Amino acid sequence: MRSRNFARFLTIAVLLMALTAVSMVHAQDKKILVTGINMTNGDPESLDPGLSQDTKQIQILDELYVGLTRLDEVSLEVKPGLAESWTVSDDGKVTTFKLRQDVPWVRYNAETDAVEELKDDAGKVRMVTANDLVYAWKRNFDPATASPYIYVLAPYVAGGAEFAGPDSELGVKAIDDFTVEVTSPVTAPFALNIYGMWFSRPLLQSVIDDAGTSWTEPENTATYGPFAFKEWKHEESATLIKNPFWPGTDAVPQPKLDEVVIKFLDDTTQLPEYEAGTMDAIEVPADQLDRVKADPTLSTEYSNGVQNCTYYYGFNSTKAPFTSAHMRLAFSYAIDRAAITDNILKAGQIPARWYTRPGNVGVPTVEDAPADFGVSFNVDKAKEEFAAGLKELNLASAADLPSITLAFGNTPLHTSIGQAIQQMWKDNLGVSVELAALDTTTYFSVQREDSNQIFRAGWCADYPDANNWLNETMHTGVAQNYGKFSNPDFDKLVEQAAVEPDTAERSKLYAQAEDILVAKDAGIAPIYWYVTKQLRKPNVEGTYSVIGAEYYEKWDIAP
Amino acid sequence: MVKYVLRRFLWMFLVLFVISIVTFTLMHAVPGGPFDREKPLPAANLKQLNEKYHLDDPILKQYADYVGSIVIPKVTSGKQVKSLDHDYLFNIKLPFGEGNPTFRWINFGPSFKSTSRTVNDIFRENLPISFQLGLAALAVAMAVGIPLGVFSALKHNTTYDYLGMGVAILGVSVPVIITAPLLQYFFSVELKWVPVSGWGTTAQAILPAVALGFAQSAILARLTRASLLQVLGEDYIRTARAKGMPERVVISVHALKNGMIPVITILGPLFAALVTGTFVVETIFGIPGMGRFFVTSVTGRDYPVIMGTILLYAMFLVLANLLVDVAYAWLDPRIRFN
Repeated sequence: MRSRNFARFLTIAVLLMALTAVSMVHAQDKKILVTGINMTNGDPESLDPGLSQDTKQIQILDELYVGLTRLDEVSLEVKPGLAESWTVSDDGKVTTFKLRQDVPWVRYNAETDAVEELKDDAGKVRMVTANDLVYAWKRNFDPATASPYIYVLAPYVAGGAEFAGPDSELGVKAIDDFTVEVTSPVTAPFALNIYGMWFSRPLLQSVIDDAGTSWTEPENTATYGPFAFKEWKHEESATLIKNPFWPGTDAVPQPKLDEVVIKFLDDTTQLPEYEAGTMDAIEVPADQLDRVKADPTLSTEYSNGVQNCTYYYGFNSTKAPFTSAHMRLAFSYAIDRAAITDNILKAGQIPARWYTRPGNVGVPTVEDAPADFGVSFNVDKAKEEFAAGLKELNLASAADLPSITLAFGNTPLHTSIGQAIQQMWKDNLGVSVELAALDTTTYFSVQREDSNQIFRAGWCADYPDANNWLNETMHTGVAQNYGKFSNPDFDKLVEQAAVEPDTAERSKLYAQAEDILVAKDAGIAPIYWYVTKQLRKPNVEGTYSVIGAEYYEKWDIAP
Repeated sequence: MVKYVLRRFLWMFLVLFVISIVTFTLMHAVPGGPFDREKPLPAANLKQLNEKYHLDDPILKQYADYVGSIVIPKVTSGKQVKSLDHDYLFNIKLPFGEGNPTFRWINFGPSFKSTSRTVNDIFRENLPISFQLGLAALAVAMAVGIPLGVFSALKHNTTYDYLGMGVAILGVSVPVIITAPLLQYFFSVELKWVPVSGWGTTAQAILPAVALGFAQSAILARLTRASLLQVLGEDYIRTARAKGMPERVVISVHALKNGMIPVITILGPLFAALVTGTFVVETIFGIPGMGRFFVTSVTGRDYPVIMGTILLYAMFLVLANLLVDVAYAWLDPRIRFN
């Protein structure tokens, strides 16, 4: 009897141990990536696609929702996303999207520790439909939602700019459950990009109605992208978990990672975490670059990539002496950009010769552009233009110039660059420029209302097309155009390029526009093009995104 | 005593009221608003946002609405969906009436930056973390600082005294922005004894509590030493010694108790400052506490968060000082509240 009991005990014990071992192996098998890329400085302000606007938010939204179109993060091609195909009418204004029919709404269930499909009242799996897209667009256009970014979509959907509330007409229609027709008042080849952006993605009305403003919390939300939302620890981290119901397409494959833990840590804390082995991919803080590059291990794990942004100085063309284009150009020629990228930035940033970051559609690359295209450091030309500027302003010498102020937001980077350029202007033009380092928010409000004579600014592309840069930020009267740059020829060129279907033809128009913006009329002085600064552990495999959001569904961790 | 505490309590509301007016006026006088950012919004969007958050109302109405939503309780019925405008610290379901009537009180408003969170959310989720860290740091500060000060005072003008005060000077003069990363690199990256950052386990709390506590312990040590030295020269100490009392009792019962008065005075504001969060330590150690809101709300012009954090800090300060005053009476029998 005793021996039988003992045998039973032994069997159970062995079974239990085996089970534990299996579950342990299982737990170890889980591929969990811990990353801090694109995530420095605190909680994402929102994870509501309609209310989001910055890199942190878009990074997470790109994994939770997939647009009608999906921008390839490396090649910048527009690929099928939620829509498997589309047709564009002959006049280019009506686009009909065929949606995938196999994408369900999902939510992570903490009790079962699994991602689950959402069901409708009848118990049927709730698929992502054309109506969800129409709902999302109307909701985001509704002034009551006060979406900060929907204005980017507004020009490319009929009724978008005038949309006043739920009863207004909007040029988006569900033909059937899986067919959407978008009508645009204008032809715009890049609109396909915009139709795929985060504020244009489907939303599930019932969860928003039920949970109010907390619908974006993981326990309330409904998403459908390659990853589902597992946990959001505010001010700390967000955890994404593989969504097994995402069908997996060429552009958006099924994730190989089981989970992605996104930490909202300051970059100065990410580095020690990375060195301690607790994070797999991070952004390198600028002040640690020298150490990282000198370290035998870290230097092999460090990489630069393209970041689709430009750093520039704007001139207020309504304030003396920058009412003179010669004067503006003189100040631009006098900036030694390479000295700044080599000595201050040191991470492989590229001296900018024109405004739109190369890599965007419609922009020349540095290799293809003629050597004299754009603007670069040239003391002789600077002096020549300076003399012409003085003449144009009827001034005898530099001493007769009014006092000139360069304003920037008070950060160490802007201050270092400002001081360096201040010295360059002194050396090359003999002009003393005062620096005004303002509290960042004050700075932006001052520039918005009445910008300083020279001011620091930057632009990161919303979508990789020259239209987003030249037309949407430099056209007469647009919000980002702080310096009130206005040139009728420039305006005409970018308007024409916006509706030109042929890419080669558009590129020509944009090249002319760039020439006016940075050289002929010198509305701005481009300074440098950004790069990313990342550290990734050797066992991390993945693409290097140039769009400011990593696609973790294409990443993997080697054993 | 009870009357005194009650009176001080009423004073607190007056103090908070005045602080709220001053803060409200100052923050609206600073240029820039919550929606000024690198990528400027078109005028139409700005208008929508200002309408959504009632920033287009006259400034007096904004203030009245703000104070009203905190002070005036509401009874609402029906489905209680949380929205940015309606999030209360107290939600008590009433046992009578039709349609789920609920008594709701104290609404600090939405955060303009975080579109799904309210100031009350921040209080609920982030304040407890800062509070725990603050208490731990205070414990470290007292455990290190007070014994160090006593020791230095007793070994007055000896090598031990100089050594102890040397440590204290070091603690006061090296800012936490230096000590914190040093601790982090040494104990987390090199030795791997404790995690680099984060919050939730005891191990994660050690370094931030030490970094924060050490700097404060230095102040406490110097204060304890100075005050104890002074007390040791008093007549009643001489009397105690003259009547043959053992030195141990003289120090611990008579000297230390009275020597603590200045220390207690500074502990009040120190407590208020520590438990409401500290920006640098929380940022370096990735702790999701309140500290960063004191800074980011101002730089981002997040008006309700500015108001909320400042009123919270003021409340802690007043309450801590009240406790200090009550403690005086216990420490020094000469002090009475009448």
